[in-house]
Amino acid sequence: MQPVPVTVVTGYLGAGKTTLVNRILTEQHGRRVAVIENEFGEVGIDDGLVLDAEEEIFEMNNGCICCTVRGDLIRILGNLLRRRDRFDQILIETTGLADPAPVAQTFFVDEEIAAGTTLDAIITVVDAKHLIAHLDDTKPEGVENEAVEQLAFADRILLNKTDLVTPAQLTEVERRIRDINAVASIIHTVNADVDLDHILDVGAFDLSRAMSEDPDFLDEDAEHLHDTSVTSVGFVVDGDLDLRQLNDWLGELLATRGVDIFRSKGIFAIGGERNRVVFQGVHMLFDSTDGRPWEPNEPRHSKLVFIGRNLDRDELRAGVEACRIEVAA
Amino acid sequence: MTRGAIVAPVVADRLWTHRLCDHLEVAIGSPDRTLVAAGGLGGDGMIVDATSGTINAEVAEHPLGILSLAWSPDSEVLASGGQDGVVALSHRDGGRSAHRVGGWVQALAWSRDGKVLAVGAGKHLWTWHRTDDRLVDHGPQPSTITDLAWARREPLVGLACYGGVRWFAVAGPEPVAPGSQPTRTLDFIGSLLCLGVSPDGRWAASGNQDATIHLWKLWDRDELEMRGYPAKITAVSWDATSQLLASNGAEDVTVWDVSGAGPKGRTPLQLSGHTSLVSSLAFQHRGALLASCDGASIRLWRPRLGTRQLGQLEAEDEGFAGVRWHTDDRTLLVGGAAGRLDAWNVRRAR
Repeated sequence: MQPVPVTVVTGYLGAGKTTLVNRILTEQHGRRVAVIENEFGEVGIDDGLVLDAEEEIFEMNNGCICCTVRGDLIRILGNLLRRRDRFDQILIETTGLADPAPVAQTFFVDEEIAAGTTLDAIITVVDAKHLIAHLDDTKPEGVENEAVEQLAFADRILLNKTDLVTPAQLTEVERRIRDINAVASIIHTVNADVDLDHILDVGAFDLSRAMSEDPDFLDEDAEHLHDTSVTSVGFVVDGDLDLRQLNDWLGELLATRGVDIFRSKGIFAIGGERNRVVFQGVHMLFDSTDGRPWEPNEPRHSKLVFIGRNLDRDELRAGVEACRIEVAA
Repeated sequence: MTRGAIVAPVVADRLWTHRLCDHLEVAIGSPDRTLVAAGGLGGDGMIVDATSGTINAEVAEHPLGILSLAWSPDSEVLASGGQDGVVALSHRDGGRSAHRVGGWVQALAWSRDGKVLAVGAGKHLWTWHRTDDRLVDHGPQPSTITDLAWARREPLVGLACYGGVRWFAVAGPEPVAPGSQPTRTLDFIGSLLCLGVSPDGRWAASGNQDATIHLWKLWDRDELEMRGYPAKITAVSWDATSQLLASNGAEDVTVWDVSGAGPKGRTPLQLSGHTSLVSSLAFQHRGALLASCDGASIRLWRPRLGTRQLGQLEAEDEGFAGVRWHTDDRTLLVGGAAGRLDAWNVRRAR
């Protein structure tokens, strides 16, 4: 049986998450959606089910200091997977203040969920009028700014309430989003009115689509005017990489710096491999799968993106460059 | 009766079949061996005459799914719990009552004297006291209660939660103050998924999300952790002698021998044959046979005598979801992924 695609909707309080979820629940889109959200009460609806989740975050005993998972989601998703023929899609709405990491890490850590579902996309809904204030909100030492984290984790960003800002303000909001997350596609909406084909079952988490169009930030000369501690860093490296060296480097990097690296994603050309290797990580957890085969005349190159805090572009580039297989002249 | 595809040295004959509307993992025999109760994730359930297979009564419906069932020791009351946050009591004389407790009712356990029913509902421990029909909320625990088990030697109920097992004295005649602290705790930093107390009351074993088993010797401070499983452990089962502990968490069934000084330094038995993760397993109540299931097959073993498989049933039109021995120890109760319930009579091959 095919894994069930799971969409995670995050967003600050009042950004429009619930409007979006209600739209998904009520629109005739032909998909049977099971929705997991907070404090709704459990009810059966025409083509699906709404399940109540009480956020319960657990640390895992796997030696990974930032590895937390959502125990409630493991239970609910496990239960849904026993009735998987009844759903086409699962949607998880997080609370406004939720850190997306434990949600995403749940899909890596629990083998039943990893096998039965696929994390399709993390959708972050943001309010065009208030986002900058939330991003600039000063937090006490050691407390994360949830608005920044939610942008950093996003595969797609719904820039909502665009009718409430001027074009100039909208440009500035987009620039601030791009400073943090240069990879996620941004969709402008009013009342969270979006074509659901753009957010459900889109395969965005694995990044192959987003990275197929070289985003500007992969260019090393791209300027980052705003000084923010959470940024995106990306590279394109021509030629093949050595699998063992790449594994060693990424393993070491994420083990030692994974607390600061929120998301890592890559599409690799590995020496001797006919298929592209698609890589994704959340903090210290990562996995990889085979992507599509390389075309006969397609230039083989690798793309790698990190989104996180205190990223040193030169150091990261040197790390991945060191994994290149030198071709004899 | 249909002959099962089980191979020597044991064979199985199908006794009867019923169908619930969705995935069925929970089927249990009454202690007096006369009845079988089953409840599925579709929310419906039934009480069946164990011998004839005739439907005796419906289990109270729990919209969104039945998660737990428990017979009182005198077989007079069946408790059922569901995703609807309700614990329902079906009495043999036809009387019924339902109590809203909130949360998913994942675990139900009767005290040995049958006077108290412990209910794990979300984060709350509730007890229903049979003598005066009194329901008590003992307040929220630090995390969701995933399983419950009564101690054998003391009137304590153990709650499996994140962080360990919390034991409460809830069986006494006095009402227990809501929010009371546990009488004992067995600490373990991890998420506990299932809990089994050995029949002799010497051990408590938890299966855990982090692919370990934690074993406590009750009531001293001895504890052990078994690692090396590829997946989380959702099922543990003790044999009648309290010497063998079977666990899932892999395609193999792992059986630990805890006799004598305990399992420390011993290599467990690995029962090989399943082709995907074992989802459910159970020892006979008094005998030595162990049944285990994955989606495609049910396999029978006698671990006391080694790793040889004694028999096998292959899934037919739908996968297997759960397996349990009826209290007669001869009938295997098998739940299907789409709601089928089969009772198989297991016997020696001639």
